[in-house]
Amino acid sequence: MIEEQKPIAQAGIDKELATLEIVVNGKIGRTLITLEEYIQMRQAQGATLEVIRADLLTDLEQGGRIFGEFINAMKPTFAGSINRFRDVGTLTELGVDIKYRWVAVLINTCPDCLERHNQSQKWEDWEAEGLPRSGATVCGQNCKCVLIPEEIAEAEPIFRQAG
Amino acid sequence: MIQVKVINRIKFPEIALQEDLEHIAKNIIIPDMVRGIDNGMTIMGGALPSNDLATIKRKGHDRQLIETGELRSSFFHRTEGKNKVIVSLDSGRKKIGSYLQGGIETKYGIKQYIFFGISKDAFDMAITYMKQKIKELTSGD
Repeated sequence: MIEEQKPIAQAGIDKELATLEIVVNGKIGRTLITLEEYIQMRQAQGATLEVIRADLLTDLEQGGRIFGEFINAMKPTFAGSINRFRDVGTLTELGVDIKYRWVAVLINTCPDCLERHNQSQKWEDWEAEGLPRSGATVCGQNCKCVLIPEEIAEAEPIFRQAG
Repeated sequence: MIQVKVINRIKFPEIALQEDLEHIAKNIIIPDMVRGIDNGMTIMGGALPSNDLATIKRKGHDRQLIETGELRSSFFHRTEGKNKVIVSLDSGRKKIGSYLQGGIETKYGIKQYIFFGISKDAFDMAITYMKQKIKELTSGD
C-alpha cells in the first residue's frame, strides 16, 4: 500500500515546490537561555571552556539536543528538505473553495499525521486545525505531509496494527 | 503486543538562537538567493533555464529572472515568536515567483526557475557562522 501511495505523495511534494517560504528555527521552549548563559552555567558546574567548546561543536556537527532543530531547519532545500516549503503560493493557483486531502508519506509518520491521513476538508478548515509544518502535529517542521486537491488524491485508508 | 516506551524527561537547557537565525536569514540565506539570480544559478547549483528569444527581445537582455529588478529585491525575513525566522518574498512578487519556481510551460517544454531555498553553500556558511560563534564564546577572551 505504501508503494502505491508514493506517487500521490510525490505529486503533492512537487506541488509544494511552487511555494516560497522558508522557516528556520531553533528549539522552542518556555525558558530559553543564550549560548553565553549556557557557557557560564557549564563553567559554574566545573566544565572548562575547552570541554564546553568541544561539546557544543559536536552537538552542532551531529545535530544534537542543542542544535538539532537548527540543523534540520538549515538543511539545503534540495537535499531532502523540500518539506520546508509551504503551500501559500499553490493556493493562488488552485483556490480555497475546493477540498484538500491530507496525505502522509507513511514512512516514520507521527501519530498526529496518521490520524489526519486521507481526511479531506476545505483549506480554511485545515488552517484552523493546523497546516502541515505549522506546529500542529508532533513532527513540527519535519512534517512531510502535503495537502493536495481531493479530486487528484485518492489515498487508500491505512490500517494501524498493534503488536 | 503493544509496547510502551518510557523516556526519561531530563531537563535540558534550551538555547535562544534568535539573533543568530536573524543574522543567517539576513546575511546568508537572502544574499545567497540574490547571488544565485545575479549569476543565473539555481539554488541546487546548476544554471537557470535560458530565456526564450521572444523574452530576451522584450527585455533587451538575456538575464533570467531579472526584468524590473522587483523579484530580486523582494526577499525579506521576519521574526515569528521565539527562535523562529521566516524568509519569504513580498506579496507582490510571491505569485509570479511561485509560478517561476514551480515551472512555466513554454512551447519548448516546462522551464523551472528554482531560485528560492537554502543552497548547499548557504547551509555551509550557516554552519561555519555557528562554529565561529561557539569558538569566540569559548575562547576565554
